[in-house]
Amino acid sequence: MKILRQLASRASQIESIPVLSLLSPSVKRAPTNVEIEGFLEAQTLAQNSTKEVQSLIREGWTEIQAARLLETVLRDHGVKNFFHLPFVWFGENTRFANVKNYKDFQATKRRVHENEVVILDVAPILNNYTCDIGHTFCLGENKEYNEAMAFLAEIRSLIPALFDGKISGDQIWKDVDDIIKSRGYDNIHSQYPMSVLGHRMHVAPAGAGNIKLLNFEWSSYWNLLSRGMFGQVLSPTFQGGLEGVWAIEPHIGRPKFGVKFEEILIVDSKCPRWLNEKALV
Amino acid sequence: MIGLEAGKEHPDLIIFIHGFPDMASVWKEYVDELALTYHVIAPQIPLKQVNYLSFQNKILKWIAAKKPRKVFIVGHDLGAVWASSLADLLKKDLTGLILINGMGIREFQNRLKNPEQLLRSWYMFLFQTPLVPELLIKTFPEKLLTIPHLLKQSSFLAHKDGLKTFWQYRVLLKEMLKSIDHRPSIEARTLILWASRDAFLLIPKREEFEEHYKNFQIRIIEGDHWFHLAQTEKVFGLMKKFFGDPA
Repeated sequence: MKILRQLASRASQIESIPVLSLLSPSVKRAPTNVEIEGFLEAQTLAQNSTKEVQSLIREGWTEIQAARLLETVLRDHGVKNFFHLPFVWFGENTRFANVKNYKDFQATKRRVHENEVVILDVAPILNNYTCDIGHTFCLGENKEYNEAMAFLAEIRSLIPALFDGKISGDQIWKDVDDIIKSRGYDNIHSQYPMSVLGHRMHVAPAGAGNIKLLNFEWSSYWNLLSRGMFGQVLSPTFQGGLEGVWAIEPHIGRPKFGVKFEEILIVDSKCPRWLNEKALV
Repeated sequence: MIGLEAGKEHPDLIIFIHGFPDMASVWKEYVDELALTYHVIAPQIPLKQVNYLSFQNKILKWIAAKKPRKVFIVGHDLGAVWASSLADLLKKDLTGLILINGMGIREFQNRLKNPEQLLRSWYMFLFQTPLVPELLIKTFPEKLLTIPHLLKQSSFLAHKDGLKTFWQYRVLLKEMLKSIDHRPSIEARTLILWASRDAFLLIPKREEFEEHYKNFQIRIIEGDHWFHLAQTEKVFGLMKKFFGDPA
């Protein structure tokens, strides 16, 4: 196990693969102003769309209904491809209570009830710019939810400083994990594939087609795998460089529900900062 | 989106959704009469194909923006498919639903297992073929519009442009396949009005609706598929009682 972790740590320092780098160059670099604009436009659209769907969701909707509507809203606004299609979780599914394999992350026929927590997570590609956002809300009043969201907002305010280069990626993961556990919450993102706290964002090729596997389009697998995979995801073993554009997604849990946010973080020679300082949280 | 609208000053909203091959204007008499008490709209189904969920979302957003006190939806024929889908999304925000010679996607999916219904819905499969329906509608619109009368559906009022909304059958079939596992849950009071001599749809049985509609009643009325256009007084009476009845 220790050897595997060491190998994963080594692999996380690979940012591109010889020859393949001609097609998939390293994204461990500061984004240009044009790129920042592109990512911001995509993220704003995604956030507005989740808010639109939030306003329409009613008690009794299924996760599938909400996911289909979110996809429709985004496609109506010009989105043709996705890094991943919408994930929607209700109630205990927001803390992955029933997840046994990757297929279980997908939207189900589970219906939402009053005062339950809802998470919408979607990654549209707009004008070749990928974004990935997560938005949590509650269908009614729920004191425990309010407390969890307040804590999530605290975590959000702490994260940019962790990317100032003084500590490595695996230490960032560990620090966030410690903060979450110190307040009695569960670390739910440790249940994500490779336990990622975040992943790099890419400029996707135009008209990439939409063959998908488990909610992710083929270009998403290509963007990650063609760059060596491990250097693209902020996992507990990540030791690569931090510069670049990241989607950060801390996900915390209580026994009956979970809450998360996901947003783009810019890490360049200036201060690490959220792409949009105004948060959804 | 809106074909007809009247009575904007009233807080309670009624939405009339037309069927195929009708236009929103078939509801004119209903809109004029009910606008004395209600805010009434009759959306026009687009003449060019649109995404099923996109159009549904437009209506949902429109309703949300108006913030009505009560919402009723009335759908005839394919309009009943839209009405039932909207009811499944509006949940408790919908006060009442009236389906006139039409049903939701799920009920229709189940019906297609019945060979007699399959035969009566033959044209639905013709509309799935590429280019053929477009060509027929362009070349023989008048002849196509005589079909209901040949089938003794004499209440039908022909609207040439209404034929262009045939695309609904294409998106309906796609939607049926996409939502094959979905079990609608309609909480609003539902009144199902059905003609005794409908040439296109078999008379419904209670068990067809029991799984998805929590509170419904079926009324069979002497007439054809468009009986609501020939017997407006009778249908007005039933509707007004339904809209005003809190039970």
